[in-house]
Amino acid sequence: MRVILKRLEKVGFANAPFLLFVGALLLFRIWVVHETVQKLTLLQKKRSELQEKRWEYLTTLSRWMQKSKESTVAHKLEQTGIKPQRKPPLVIE
Amino acid sequence: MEQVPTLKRLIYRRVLIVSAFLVLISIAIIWKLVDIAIIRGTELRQRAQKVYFKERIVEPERGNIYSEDGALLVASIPRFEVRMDPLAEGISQELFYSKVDSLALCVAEVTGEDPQRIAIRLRQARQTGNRYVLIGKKLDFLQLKQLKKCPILRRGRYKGGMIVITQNKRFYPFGVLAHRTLGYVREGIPPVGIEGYFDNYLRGKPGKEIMQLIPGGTWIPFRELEHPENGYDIITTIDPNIQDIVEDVLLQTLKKHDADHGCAIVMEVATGKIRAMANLGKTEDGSYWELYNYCIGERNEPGSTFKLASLLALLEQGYSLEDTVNVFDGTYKFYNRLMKDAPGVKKGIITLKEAIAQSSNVGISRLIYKEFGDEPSEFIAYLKRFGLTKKTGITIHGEPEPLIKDVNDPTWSGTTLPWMSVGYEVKLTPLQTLTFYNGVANGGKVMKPMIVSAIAKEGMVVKEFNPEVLVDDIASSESIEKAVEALKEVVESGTARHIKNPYFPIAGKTGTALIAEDKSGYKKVYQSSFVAFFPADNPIYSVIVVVNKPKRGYYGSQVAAPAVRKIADRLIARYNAESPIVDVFAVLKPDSSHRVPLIAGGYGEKVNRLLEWGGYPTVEGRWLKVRQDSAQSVDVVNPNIVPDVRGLALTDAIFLLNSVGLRVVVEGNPSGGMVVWQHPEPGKPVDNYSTAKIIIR
Repeated sequence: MRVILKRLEKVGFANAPFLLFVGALLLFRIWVVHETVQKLTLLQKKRSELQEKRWEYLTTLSRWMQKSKESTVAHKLEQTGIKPQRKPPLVIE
Repeated sequence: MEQVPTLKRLIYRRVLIVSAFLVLISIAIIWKLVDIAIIRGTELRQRAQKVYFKERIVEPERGNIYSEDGALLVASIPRFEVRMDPLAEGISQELFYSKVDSLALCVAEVTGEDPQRIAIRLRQARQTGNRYVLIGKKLDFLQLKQLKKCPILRRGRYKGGMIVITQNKRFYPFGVLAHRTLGYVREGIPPVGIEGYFDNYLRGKPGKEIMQLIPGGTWIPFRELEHPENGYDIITTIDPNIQDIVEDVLLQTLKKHDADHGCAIVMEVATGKIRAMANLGKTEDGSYWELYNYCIGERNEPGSTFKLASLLALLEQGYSLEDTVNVFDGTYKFYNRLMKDAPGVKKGIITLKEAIAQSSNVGISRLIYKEFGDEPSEFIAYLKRFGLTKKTGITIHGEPEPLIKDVNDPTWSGTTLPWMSVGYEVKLTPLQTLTFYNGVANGGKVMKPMIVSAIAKEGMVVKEFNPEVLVDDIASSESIEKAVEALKEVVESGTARHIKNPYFPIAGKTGTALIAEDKSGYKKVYQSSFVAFFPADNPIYSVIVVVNKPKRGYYGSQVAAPAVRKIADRLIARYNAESPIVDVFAVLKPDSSHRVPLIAGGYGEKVNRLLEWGGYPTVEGRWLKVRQDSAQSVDVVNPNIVPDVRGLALTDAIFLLNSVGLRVVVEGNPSGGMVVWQHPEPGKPVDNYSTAKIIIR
């Protein structure tokens, strides 16, 4: 019995640094997995943010295009008497 | 002395017990592992697959449609429907009733609905237990964003009861502009327009991926099985600015004449590129909308616009424009059918040129009958040569074959040829008619109508379409020249003389066709059209306007021709404005008080030209500022001191300040006249400042 115990003691203490190392590795792995998941979640979030920015850009662009249409501008300026040019410009010189 | 070993033994024993315990646990764990991994492994793995993994079809992004100058015409962006659950867990009685009115106001600002009605609706919903109240439909992303800031709703899905339903839709940044031409693809109906024709390219190919559920309930892509291929972009020849003009003019015309429907096309003569294609039809509520692509799909008897084909055939047979024909009193009987001229057409003996200019049915039909009466197949052969018997092949679905009867046709009769020569018993679409006229404008070379100029992916052109020639030479150059001369006469002195303008010549032909008549013969329905190209001597654009069933006025000359004139005016104004031939400075003259005119300052060369012209001394310098009172000019740019930009136009002022390294902040009305105040003051060393502020009025 004593022999066995002695052996155990030897094994246990002699490999303590290694066991610690293995433990640390395990912790490290858990941390890495956690980080990866976090990154993936962030990525997914950024992806939908990007999508939303794209929608926002396209929506703004389209509103601007509507407003800059000649007929829209002409309609808005009706009151002021400014109209789209109907005659070709003339070269005076 | 025995104590130490005893203690040691004691500890050893305990360690042993703990170890044994641990070993037992380990065995249990290992056993469980074996059980999970091997014995029940397959089954558990399958269950896990179901819970934590799922396969997902990745929809590709549908391609966009752009104009040649890069304007976005159709894109894929979603529209949103927003609903609210007023009984959501996070909304307390107190919160709801204290905020419901401000919520209604906020929503009203976005949707334009009456705020009181919204408030009533929300209150009722809370009382009756309706957990799905409509807030707004077909909202764009910016509107959704605004809604997300409203009271209560800003608390989100669970706390604020905001329900957002995303509907993926094709989006038309220009609204209804060219709606039918750009088209759409919907389930259950035949595909329409460019979207329909190029669906295979635009659609892309869906991909597949496996998604994994990670802690926190988020699904993330785990493995891609098939990569989705986004659709190709289509670049169309439609120019949104020209389309806008054409649609505007068409709408006004249809409204003015209370017509059932109408269409208009603008084609670039040299290439056959379609710059605008507008279709408007009257809806049940009396407004006009793009209902159907009449330009491409509606085949009708064209009426007098077809006389150009008869004219060309006669010219090719050796006729001259001065050859004459007797139209008697404006009526002539072919067998038992009476051919009539419209009132106002010259009677008696007229020339071929007059017959075209005044659109004499009798004149043209008599000449054609005289020339081809014995051998009508020769006339048909000409029509074939002109490319009138075939489809144009435009890349939009729905184009019918032109109806040009053959002499062997069972319905061919003795009166077919004369009636055909003036545009009856033949059927063409507006696009087919225009394509023919465009060919004449193009010196006899008929171009294939082109609506798509390229297919692109990620900004790179992958396939380019070049202008195609349908018929190389429809007639000799002499005949073409004479035909153009006759068409010019139509606008000069003929049926369309009221659209003549002093700036540029138009060549064209009016058409009025009776398309239906009820049995009593009392109610007649017409199609009015005008086809033209301009400037007639060196045509840039050809245009057709067709108006169907106008109720006020029906002659092509009254209804369609003025519309073409309006389009032509604006196109030519635009075309010239885009070519750098006009110097705006050249049109400013010194005023009578001999003060230097309102040129204030600007680019040296231009200012000097104006000064020279007004008889003032010129001054060396790249940028000049002119003081109105003394007519003295000074060079204002010195890289080390702040330039005097007061009195300059905004763009010049910004340019000058930037050129000495100052950033510019503008205040006031930027569309106003000139800079009235500046800081830092002129003459100060530039190095002390980084920003300049100017006020414009």
